[in-house]
Amino acid sequence: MQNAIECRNLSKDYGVFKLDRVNFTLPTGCIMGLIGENGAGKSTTIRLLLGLAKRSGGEVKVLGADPETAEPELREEIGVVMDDCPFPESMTLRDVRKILAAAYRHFDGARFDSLGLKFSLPERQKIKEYSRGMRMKLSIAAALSHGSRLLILDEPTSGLDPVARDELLDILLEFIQDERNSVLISSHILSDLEKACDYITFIHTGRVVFSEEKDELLGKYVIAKGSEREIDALDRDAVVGVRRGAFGCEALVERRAGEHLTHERASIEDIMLYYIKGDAK
Amino acid sequence: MKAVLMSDMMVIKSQAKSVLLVIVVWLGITIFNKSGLFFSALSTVYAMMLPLTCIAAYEKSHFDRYLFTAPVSRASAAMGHYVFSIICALCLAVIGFAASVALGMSVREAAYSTFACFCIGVVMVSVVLPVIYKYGTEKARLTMMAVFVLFVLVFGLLFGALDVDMDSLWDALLLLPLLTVAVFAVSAAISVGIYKRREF
Repeated sequence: MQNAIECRNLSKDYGVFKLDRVNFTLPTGCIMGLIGENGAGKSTTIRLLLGLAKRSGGEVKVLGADPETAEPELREEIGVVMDDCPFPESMTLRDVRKILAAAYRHFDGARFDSLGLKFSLPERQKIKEYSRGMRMKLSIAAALSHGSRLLILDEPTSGLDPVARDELLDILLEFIQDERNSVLISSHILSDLEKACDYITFIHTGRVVFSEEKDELLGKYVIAKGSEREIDALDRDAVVGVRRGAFGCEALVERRAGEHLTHERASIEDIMLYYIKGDAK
Repeated sequence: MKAVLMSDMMVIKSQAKSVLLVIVVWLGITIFNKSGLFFSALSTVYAMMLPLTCIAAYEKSHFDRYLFTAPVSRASAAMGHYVFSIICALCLAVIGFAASVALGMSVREAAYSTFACFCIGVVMVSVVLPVIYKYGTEKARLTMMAVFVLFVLVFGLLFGALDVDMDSLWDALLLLPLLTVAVFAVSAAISVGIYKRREF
């Protein structure tokens, strides 16, 4: 199976911030969630994958080609959704349609029109009058209307209400029904990613902390609860982080080491937060 | 390049009312003054302002970044605004030429003056676009004003100091296309270089 995205030691040095030897692989037919706090390097990674910035080191393959040197035709097969609608606010849906038809050789006008109808996007209304959700849907419609095999979405759910977020996830799940298609999505709203993703890649201060199959990840950790003495007695190598409170302690710990204590399932959000904030083992 | 041209047209189309209003007001002043040259001269500035308007709209929505995620080469994206400027300048030149002839100027004189204004417009666009690409539209607005004032001063001083007669001016116009092509070529090369190095 060919991989949709391969990053090997991907690095970018901005001086004040460094993306440091990022490694992950997105297999074709899968959805990968890119998670991490603000400024962790998610958007930088996405910009490098799209060839919008030049990497300082490492190798990248997107649909089998290096985005920095590939012919523009590679981008026919990549649908991109950024954190806000990229089309000038004075334009209408019809204007966007004309631009996409001029930009993409494989632009499917009928598909764009049907998505516009499905998303209830008004044809003649200017984009500046669209709601945040409508703008996102317009971006999605544009990304899905030129035969994309790979969708790259950078924080598409930020600022969206739960209904709009759920609709977006449905669209992604529908897109991935074709097993030649793949999705890379970065988001702060980890519960959304937990619903939709096959893989999770966690970036923290410019480095990949883990890049794993979601189900393996969720099965790997538990939140163990107990007294300070019980938590301190856990195998230190298996503990990711500890939270100490007035009424007891909690630790994110590998299942094998924490199952003997009272424990509960760890969500992706728990795992990320313990990695970032629960440093005191 | 087709995508950039289409985008530019869509931005200007969305401002069609104000663009048409400006053209109508200028035509009114032109008819009132009985001087087609007035329209041609002002159109040089407008040819420079229209792409600036488009690029400002792109900067606001990050559309330029989006373009590079589409199958649009950086070189063609850079050149798209030049071509759009030239199309605008040509359209305005046709109106200016027609107005000049309609107001009694000879066809030869109207053609020469319109052509001179067109060339000056292209030169001004060529000076401004690389600055826009490099520093963005806000800083480029100052450059645009400076370029316009410089042109007015240089031409004004030349005419005033040298007491140029019209025949020798027409002769000098023969050099204008060469100068225009040279400035355009250098500017385009610089702009393509800037776009190729640009990161988002």
